[in-house]
Amino acid sequence: MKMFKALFISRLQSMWFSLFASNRLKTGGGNKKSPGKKVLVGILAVYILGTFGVMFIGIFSQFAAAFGNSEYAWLYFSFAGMFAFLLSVVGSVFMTQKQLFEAKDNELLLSMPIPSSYIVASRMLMLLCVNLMYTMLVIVPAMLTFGVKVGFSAKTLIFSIIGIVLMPLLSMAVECLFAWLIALIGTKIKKKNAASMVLYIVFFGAYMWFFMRLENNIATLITNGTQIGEAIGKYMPPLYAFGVSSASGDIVRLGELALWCIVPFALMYFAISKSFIKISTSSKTQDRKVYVRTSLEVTSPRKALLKKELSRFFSLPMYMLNSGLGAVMAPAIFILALFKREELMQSLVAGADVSAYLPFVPIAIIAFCVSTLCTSAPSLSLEGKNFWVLKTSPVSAGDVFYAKIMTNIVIGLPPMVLASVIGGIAFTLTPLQTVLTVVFTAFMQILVAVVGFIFNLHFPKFEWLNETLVIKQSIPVILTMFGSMALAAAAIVISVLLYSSPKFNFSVDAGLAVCCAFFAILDAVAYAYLKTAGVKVYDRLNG
Amino acid sequence: MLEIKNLTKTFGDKKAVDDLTLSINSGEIYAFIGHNGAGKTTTIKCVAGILGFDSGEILVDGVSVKQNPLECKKKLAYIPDNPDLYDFMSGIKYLNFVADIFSIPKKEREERIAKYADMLSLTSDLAQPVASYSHGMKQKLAIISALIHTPKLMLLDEPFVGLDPQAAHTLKQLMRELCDAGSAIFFSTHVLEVAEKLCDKVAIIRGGKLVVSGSMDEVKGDESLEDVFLELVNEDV
Repeated sequence: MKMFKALFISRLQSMWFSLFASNRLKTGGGNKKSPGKKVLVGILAVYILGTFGVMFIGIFSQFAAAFGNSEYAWLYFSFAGMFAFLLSVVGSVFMTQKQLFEAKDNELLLSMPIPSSYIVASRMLMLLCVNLMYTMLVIVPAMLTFGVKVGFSAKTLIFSIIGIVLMPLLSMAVECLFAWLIALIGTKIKKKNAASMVLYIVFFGAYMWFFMRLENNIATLITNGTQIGEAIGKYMPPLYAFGVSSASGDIVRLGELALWCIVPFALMYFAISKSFIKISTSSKTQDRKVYVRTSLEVTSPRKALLKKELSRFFSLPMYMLNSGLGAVMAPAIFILALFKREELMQSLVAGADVSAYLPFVPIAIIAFCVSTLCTSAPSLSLEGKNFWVLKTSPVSAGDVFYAKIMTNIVIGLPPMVLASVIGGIAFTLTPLQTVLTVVFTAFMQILVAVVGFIFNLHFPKFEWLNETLVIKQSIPVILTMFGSMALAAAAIVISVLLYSSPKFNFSVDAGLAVCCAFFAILDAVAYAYLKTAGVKVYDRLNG
Repeated sequence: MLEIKNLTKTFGDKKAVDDLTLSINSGEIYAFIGHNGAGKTTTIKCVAGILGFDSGEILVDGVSVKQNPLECKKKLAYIPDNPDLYDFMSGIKYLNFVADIFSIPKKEREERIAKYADMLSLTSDLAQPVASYSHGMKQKLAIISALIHTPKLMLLDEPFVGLDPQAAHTLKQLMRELCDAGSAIFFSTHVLEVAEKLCDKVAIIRGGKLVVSGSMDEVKGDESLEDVFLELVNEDV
């Protein structure tokens, strides 16, 4: 038990450090986090939880009004369970695969007198905590809404809480199944990265499709509640059991839920424990290429650094998918808008009349996609143990900054400019509005690249067990994504307010110009900071 | 070629290197020995520009590491004790990347890569991704990358770890060749027999302080380097 506890704590520490620890503590300045950083992290946490909370309370208010006081109250909880399940699976399926089978300490742990079942169990338990977090992100707002609009008895409240604890076991079992399959496939095929990427795109596409259609379909779900309820009861027994046990305190259903969650989880645990050594120690199937001397291409140091960054980006599927998906998403959304603008608008604004603000819609979509295009945010942390190469090379901090920021711009800007132009056509913007939208895109992309790198300078993490942790969960990435989203939202809201207020008499063009000016100023400030304080921070970093 | 004057480096309250002074001339191979945690790697990292230092001065070919780090880095090459290289590159791409960084002309880089890869028997593996390399192969790649710009000063941290006997022999040969051409080598090692046979000078460090330094003959006299080392590091313990 002590051995297991130590393993579990080490996994939690690894996750915690990937989120909050930084290598600045090695610079000799002590390891205490400044109050400013604590406040920043606190604000970020409140902002993220608030965003999700408001979104889910909005969704569940509609369900509560429709089902809360009816005989279908259980359906309310079944939907909550379904959303929680989907969010958990999409949010952590690839992390599960990396953590279980590709952690860098696999060989070290296997060399110790630790049963592989303990290693698997400690990792699954850590991942279970992540799943619990995702589940709570959905179900807690759902419960709050239900509590306010309908009310709980002591029994239903307790059963709901037990349900929250049980549901992550089910999502975890499904994630483990996929992780296990991906890992098994990886031992058999050569193009493992490509296979992982295709699977992730399928997952993410399904997730986006579900949420894009959700706003539209809430009305459908509510209208057809009876039939959907029957379907859930018939085809999704765990969700049905969760719904009934939470809504009516039915102990038999709670027992069913426990079985539906614990049994698959246990089965996956045993299956993975059995094959863990084989999968995690299997050597990669690769053709051995024999080097034949060829003429070598000569480039400048700056270009060489840029090429290196691009090579890294295109060699890590997780990096491409997490930091570059916006480059595919934005053009795809606007191409869809060319043909189905009304349906798209329905999905985006849930039927609200925004026709007066239509020219602001493309920049809102672009702002969302650009904020996810932040390859620079984990780029310094990704140097990891290779950081010595940069530190001992005759390249200045400016050269390194250029390569990391320019990589972000090279990857993000061309597709985003293309998307802006398509958006201009799809939303029938005037040529000037289209140009302003393109300018906004460029300014925002530059800001995301520069600020992402600045955050990474301040929160570097060189000692990671798996790059997924710094790509997906590190503070710089989260700060950049949500921070830039918040800034863009502020700029757009201010512009729309100026435009709609008769007092200011702003035109659409002027409103868009305000957004551009806002980001141009931020770009200048961020650049000035990077050139001065940023260089000093970089020079102090040790890796 | 290398002058370290009163170097002090602390980590929190601990003095990792304490008022260390030594100098290395062109053509010299200088061994830096000491027990684990004595301050060898910290000293080498300070010279390489990876770590800043609290006080003192380091000059590489007369240029201050503190005042003009980029100029110093152009003159030196560093090989860490654990050669973590870019896994996502192939061996040849990594070498070409380093050559680009040091602005080595096309002809020279092709010739040097060919020469050193052949000498270290790595040529046929250069198309392989670094991720597939063994520790020894990575060490060989790091050695080739360090030699690409014919550095004036080479800093090696435990360079023989992981190398097969043939490669270790070749490295010793390359080290001597480089120094005969006017460069200098400063390297840490725990293999005292190698240090004794290969080096012109030696420095022994204990608890961050330099215990003794000088020519190999001066330091060891009639004894073996191992005996001298054990005597010195165990004094007052």
